[in-house]
Amino acid sequence: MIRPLAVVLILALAAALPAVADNSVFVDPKGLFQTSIPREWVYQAQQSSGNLSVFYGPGNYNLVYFEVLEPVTYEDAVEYLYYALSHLKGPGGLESFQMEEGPEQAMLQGVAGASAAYSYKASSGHRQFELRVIALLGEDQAVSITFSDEQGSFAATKEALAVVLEEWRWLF
Amino acid sequence: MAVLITLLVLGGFPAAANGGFMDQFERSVGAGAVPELVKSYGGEYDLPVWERQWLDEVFQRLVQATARKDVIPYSLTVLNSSELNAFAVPGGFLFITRGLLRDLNGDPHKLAAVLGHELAHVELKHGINNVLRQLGMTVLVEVGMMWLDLANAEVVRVASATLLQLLRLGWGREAEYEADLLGQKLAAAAGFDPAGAVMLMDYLLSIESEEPSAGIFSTHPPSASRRARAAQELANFWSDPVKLDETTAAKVLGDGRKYPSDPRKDVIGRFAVELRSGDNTTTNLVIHDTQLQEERMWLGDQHVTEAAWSPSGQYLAVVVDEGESQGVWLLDRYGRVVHQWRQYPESRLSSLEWDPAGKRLAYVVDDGASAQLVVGYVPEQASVALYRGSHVLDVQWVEDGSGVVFNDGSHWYLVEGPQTQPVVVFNPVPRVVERRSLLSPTIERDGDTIRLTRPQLQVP
Repeated sequence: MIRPLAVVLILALAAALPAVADNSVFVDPKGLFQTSIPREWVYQAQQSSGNLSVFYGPGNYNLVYFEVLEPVTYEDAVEYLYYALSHLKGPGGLESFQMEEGPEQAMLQGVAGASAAYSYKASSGHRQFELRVIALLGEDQAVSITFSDEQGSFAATKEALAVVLEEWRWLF
Repeated sequence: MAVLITLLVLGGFPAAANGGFMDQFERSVGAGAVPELVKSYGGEYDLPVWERQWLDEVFQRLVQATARKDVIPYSLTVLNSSELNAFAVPGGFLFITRGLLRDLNGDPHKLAAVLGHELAHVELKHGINNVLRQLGMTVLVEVGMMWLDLANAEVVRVASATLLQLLRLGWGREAEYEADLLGQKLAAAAGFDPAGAVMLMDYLLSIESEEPSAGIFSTHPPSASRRARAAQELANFWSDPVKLDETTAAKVLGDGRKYPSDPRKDVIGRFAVELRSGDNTTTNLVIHDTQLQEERMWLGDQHVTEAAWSPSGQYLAVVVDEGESQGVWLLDRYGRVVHQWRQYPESRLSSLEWDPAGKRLAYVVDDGASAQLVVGYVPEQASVALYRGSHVLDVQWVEDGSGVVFNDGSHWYLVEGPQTQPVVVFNPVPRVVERRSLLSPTIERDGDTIRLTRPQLQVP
């Protein structure tokens, strides 16, 4: 069953779509999904790899990144997200980690997933907020989607990136 | 019981001893020394969680290859020190400094050589046996008492203090050689390349040559001697040549030809190699650049007899004939010599063949009396001689890089190498990415002069 936070989150993001989209289509290099990215967001080749795709937004700290994770043996996305978050707030994880919302169950275009929001102290000293959505795909694969920005502009970044979830398409 | 304890102390604990009192005693002695050791190296260092997952995967694979894994709960601690060091204390406590970990630069095979060596010390009980020998008869009585009373803390405290003193002196040369050998075997059994031990010694030698006072692993035998032994051992991890019947040979060779096999063209398709006849009997290296639509000569008028691009296009391996010797040189994509990699006096080199991963190069060395099949690790100095005979022809790698096929003039043979497995982290923690700032120079005006200064780099 989908819990309220995730429903509100995805509906709110979808409702915030601009009337006329000016977006680019991004196809995951591994061929698992495609989505739309606002045109002013720039792909970062130096930080991307076969499994990781990173885009910078027009602000100072905003970015969105997608990661294909494998092998993942978890069968429940919420459990996997709990596991990941426990590492992020533990030794060698993120500085001053703080949970903001979730984790909650979520659905991403028909695939069961989980979402959570958290913040941490970034290397430049400011507080960075992240919304992370994870979907389990079977065959030991998972996809992680992360919207990231500083606190002041995080809401606006989520709104700008609503199209990412709205236009999400699985390619299998 | 006294006779039994005397034998154990004087002869050392047998390496295959099962769990029980002796293992608990060993564990207690090691645990007693850990706090002071950790403190003396600046405390524990929390690796970023992603690196820690990778390190744990390497470590656990090695632990699974040990004989004592069921009685010793092996652990690995990263120490907050820039010093280059790794060590183990009895009871399965392994340590590696963040400095050494950084220098190994994510190479799992060198790391496996380091950790395999340290695990071997515990497997072979070098530490605990040294402690017991040092304490001699004093501990004999106490150990006898402890047989009935495991909570006897005093004898453990004394043994731990002795251990701390002995650690500074090391376990002795023969013990180090033993640990090298078993460590190499553990690494191979865990799916790492045993050549990592040779590469590790090359790394230590390079450190020692740059900084003779570094004293890295100063309690160990000379690195050159350890390297020679590890290199000599390497051939034992390859099979003897196995004669292939016609059907098997056809299948293996057919599979091998599936990967891009024209060594004259780089994989990107820009450079094609030609060996063009020059003056007298020499052949020169001519490159056809299909992008710029021009040809150019690399290596000047050097006499080049063979050339083969690596599968990734990173290196062009060439055989250079310098008259009295021939060598394999590695060129980059600009035609620069990045390694004069191998040199063989009074020999002819041929049959350059890259493995599918571009990490190893097979070639044949013919000194006139016999031909030798050699596999070298690129760009390292490690190599292994796999076969010597009157002829070695048609060298080719098996498709998955697990072995080399060759012909001795009448039959096909297969030599299989150590089976290596990539490091796969199960249930990886999703990465956290931060934006990288572009650094802009500062503009300073000095009269009519404008000066651009370097941006200040802040290393976290």
